[in-house]
Amino acid sequence: MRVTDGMRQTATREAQSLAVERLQRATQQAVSGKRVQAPQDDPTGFARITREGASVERWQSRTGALSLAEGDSQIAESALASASDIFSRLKEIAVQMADGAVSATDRAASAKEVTELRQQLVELGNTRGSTGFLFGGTMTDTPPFDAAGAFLGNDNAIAVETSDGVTVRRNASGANAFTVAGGRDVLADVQALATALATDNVAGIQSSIGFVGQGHDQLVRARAETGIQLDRMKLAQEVASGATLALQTATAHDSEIDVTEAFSTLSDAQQAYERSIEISRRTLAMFDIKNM
Amino acid sequence: MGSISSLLSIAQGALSAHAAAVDITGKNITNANTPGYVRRQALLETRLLGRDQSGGVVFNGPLRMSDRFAVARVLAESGNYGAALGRENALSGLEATLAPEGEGGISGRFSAFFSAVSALGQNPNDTTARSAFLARAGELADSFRTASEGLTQRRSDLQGQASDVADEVTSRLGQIADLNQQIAQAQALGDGAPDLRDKRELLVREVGDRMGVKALEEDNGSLTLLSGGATLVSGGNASSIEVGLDPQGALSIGVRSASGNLSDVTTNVDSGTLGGIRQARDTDVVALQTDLDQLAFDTRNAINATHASGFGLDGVTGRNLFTVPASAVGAAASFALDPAMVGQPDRVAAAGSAAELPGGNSNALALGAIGSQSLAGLGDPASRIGAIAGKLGIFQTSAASAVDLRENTLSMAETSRQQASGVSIEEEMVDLTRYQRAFEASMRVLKVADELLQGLVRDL
Repeated sequence: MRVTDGMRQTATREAQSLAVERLQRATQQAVSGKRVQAPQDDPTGFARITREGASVERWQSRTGALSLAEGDSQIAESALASASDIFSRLKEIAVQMADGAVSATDRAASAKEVTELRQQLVELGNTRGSTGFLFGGTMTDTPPFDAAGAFLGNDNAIAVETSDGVTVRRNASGANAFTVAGGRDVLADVQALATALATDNVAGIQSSIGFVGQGHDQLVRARAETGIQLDRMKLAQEVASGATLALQTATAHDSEIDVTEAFSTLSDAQQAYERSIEISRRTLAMFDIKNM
Repeated sequence: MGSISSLLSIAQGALSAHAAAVDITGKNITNANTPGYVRRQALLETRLLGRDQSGGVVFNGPLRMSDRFAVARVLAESGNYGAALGRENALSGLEATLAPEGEGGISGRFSAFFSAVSALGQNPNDTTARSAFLARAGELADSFRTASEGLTQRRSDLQGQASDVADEVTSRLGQIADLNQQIAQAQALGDGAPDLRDKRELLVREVGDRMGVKALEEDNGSLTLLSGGATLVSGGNASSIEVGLDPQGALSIGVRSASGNLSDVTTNVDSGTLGGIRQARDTDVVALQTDLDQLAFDTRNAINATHASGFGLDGVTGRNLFTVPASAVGAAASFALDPAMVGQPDRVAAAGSAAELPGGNSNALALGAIGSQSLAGLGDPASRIGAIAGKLGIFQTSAASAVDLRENTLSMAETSRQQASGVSIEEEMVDLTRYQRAFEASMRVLKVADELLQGLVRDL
């Protein structure tokens, strides 16, 4: 075969170009730490990374929403715990004051305490969380209970997503905890006890004992339901964190390079480049007319 | 039997022949790197003195060492390489339009939008969350419009490039026609016109790179160039290439003959830079645009349907979030917030019913669920935009692979052509020495003849 100068030059140029391209790609990967930076690097991988990225964002959003909802539910659970404590005290007062030996003066004093405790219950019913009033259902912008203890809210649920298409109620039901929707209108029952105490109505006090007990149970049930919601939220957060981590790991596996392999590739590319330079030098030296 | 005078004549002829051969060799050496140069070989032949008698050597002109088959192969492979390279260049950088790094692309805007939907679901009564939702929705619309404009702009740029290439081809066709005439005239006078042929071959190659042509040499030395079933050059007549758009907006490529007739060769132009540009512009980019429009259409419809089923803080339902697209065609370019929603956070329909107001979030959750739902049965938004970027990647890698393949086949064809036509400095140096020695020997013959003649004159 005739080998012409043009053939040698072309072969040298192509080898040099290939070595430079290989070195550039290896350098780019080593510097960026990314195996896939653009669709042409790995079309299927890029599409997968895009999907995984969106899934990570979705799980992170869920985690944030669940964290906020958990905070609000903890506040609601704490408010319901305080309310049930108040009812424990109300039950003590009712039992003590139902005794016929207690004086009217003592009952009048207890009436004041019960009124005070009722006011505390109203305040607990109007507890606010990160997004508004917690016990008013979806009426989050106005206090659920007015000064007279009338319920102004609703029992609509506000949900939070735990996974695709699955939600859990994030707001405690004020209606079930404090109103007749849960069995007893607890604020009305407390008001009745206060009135019986103030009017020295022993029969009324005695009949209030049972209602106060039922109210206490109603609040404990509401607290338990909130606790169950909280558990689901915590569990969902753990799942979301695990899913996020798994997806981030998968994305890293798909998009990032193995550092050892990257530097090994870079080293190979550098050596290939140096060899191509030497070959070019020798090939070009062959064209030197002085050697002929 | 020869005489002293014939010896002198032989020596003189040999001196002339070898001087000419040295001249040819020198020309080969100096043009070793000249593009398009085809090496010449000094054609030395025995000089016939008479019947059954020969004497001396004669220089019968330079022989242009061109291999027609190899040249035709290079021309065909140049067209294939030009098409592959044209397509690769035409698609280069489109990832910045469809899949830019960072959060500015459609994928990032989808994520930001659904994060805002999530924040809205957490606090549906919050004006800031509602305003952020509208802002992210607007940015999502912007990202679709930007991507669509990028694709449209690329198609427009490629049309401009195709016109430039057509002008370059037209200019070269005129030069080839001129050279055809000069070569035919020279050949009629017995001159092979190797320099003119070198120039013409180079020009034909440049046309082939850009359009893909076939070349046929006529008996008179002129070349007929054909492409896509049309004649580009015939003798001294050159056609011109015209690029425009058909009613569908696709490239239209025509060949206008010297007599003014226009032939539409669009569908036959699949080679050369023009063929590559045509494939990228009217097949690849169109496919990406169609997918983008379909995604925009499905996204707008899905989000609008859910949003319209919810209730704003003002208790009104039935509002679209985005303008309603008439069809999938152009849906990305027209992606925009519904004017009734602009600057109206209270109208964001986070609640699923009037009874839920103001803190209900069931519709916000339904909007958020769109992020993981299959739109029109074609996949969720992230999968769809990932698939579009993946399709671009496949086009780009396919074009790059074709460039590698065509580069190799062109290189092989070029090697084949070089074997016949290329200059080897080593060979030329050997030839130079050979002709130099022959010249010196001829001088010696001349000197001997001279001495013989001098002796003869002296002795007489």
